[in-house]
Amino acid sequence: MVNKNNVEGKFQVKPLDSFEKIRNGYKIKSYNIKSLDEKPVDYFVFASHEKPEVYVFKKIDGKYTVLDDKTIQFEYDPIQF
Amino acid sequence: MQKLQENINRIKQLMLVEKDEQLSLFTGEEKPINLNSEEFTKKYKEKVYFILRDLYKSNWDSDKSRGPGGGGGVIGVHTVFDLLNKKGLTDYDPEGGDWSILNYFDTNPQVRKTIVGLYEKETGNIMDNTKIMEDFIKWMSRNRNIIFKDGPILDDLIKKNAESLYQGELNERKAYDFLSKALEKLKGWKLKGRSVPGSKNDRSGVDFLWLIKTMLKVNFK
Repeated sequence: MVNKNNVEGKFQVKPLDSFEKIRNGYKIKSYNIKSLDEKPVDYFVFASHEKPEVYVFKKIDGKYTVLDDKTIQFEYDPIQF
Repeated sequence: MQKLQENINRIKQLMLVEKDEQLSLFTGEEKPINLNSEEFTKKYKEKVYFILRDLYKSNWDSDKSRGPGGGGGVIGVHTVFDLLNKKGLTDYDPEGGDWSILNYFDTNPQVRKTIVGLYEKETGNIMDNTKIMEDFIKWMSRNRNIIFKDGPILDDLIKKNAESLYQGELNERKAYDFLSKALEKLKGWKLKGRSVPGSKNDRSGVDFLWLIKTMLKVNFK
C-alpha cells in the first residue's frame, strides 16, 4: 500500500525453463529458486526471452511448494488476464 | 587493556583476519553442507561483502539506500550499465547503472561455484562440511587480492555474472512487455518500472512494481 488510494504490487521474475500441468496443479522448472518463498513479493513471474509464453502466479502462502533449487509446484492456476 | 585490544586488532589486520572472525583453538563438530546450504551461503555472503568493502574503499557508495541492509556497495568500476551496454543493451536505463557487478558476487551461483572450485583445486578439499567451510572462508580472505582485484580470476567472475545479469535482463524485459500489454485491458493499473540496481527492492528480489491508481476491484481468475 503506497497511500490510501494506491495499491502496489511487487513482482519477481524468474527464468522459465518448462511448464507442466499436473494432476493437482502446475510444476515449473526454473533456476535458483530455493529461497523464492522468502522474497517479499506479491507475484511470481516466470518468463524467458526464448519462449513465447509467460506465467504469473499470485503468491499464496501454503499453496505452493519449492521442491528444489530448480522446481516449484503450485496448487492453483496462474493468473488469466 | 585498551593497548592490548589495539595490538590484537593490529595483529588480526596483519593476518588478514577481520573482526568478524573468531580465532579459536577448538573446532566444533563437523556438519554436512553443500554450496546451496543456508549455513554456507550466509557465511559466504557476509565474507564477500566484507572483502569488497575492504578492497574497494575508494569506490564505496555512501548512499545508504543501496546494498544489503543499506550498507552501501561498490560503484563506478565494472558497472552494470557498462557491462550490459557492451552486451548490446544500449537502451539500458542509466539510473542506478553506476552499481558495480561485484555487488552481485555474493548471490550469484556461478560466481560462488567458481570460487569454491578454485579453493577445491588448490587445497584438494571438497566443500561438504562446516569444517571445510571455515577453512574456505579463511582461504578466500587470505586470497582476496588475487580473487577480487583486477586479474584473470576477476575477469572470469565478471564474465559469468554479466552473462547471468544479461539473461535476467532479457527475461525481465519479456515479462515487462507481457504485463504491459495485459494491463492495457485493466483500467487503473500501470507498471511503475524496474527496481534500481542495488536498491532495497533489487536486493530483496523485487524486479518491478505495478500500481493500481484507484481502488478498482480487479478479479484475477
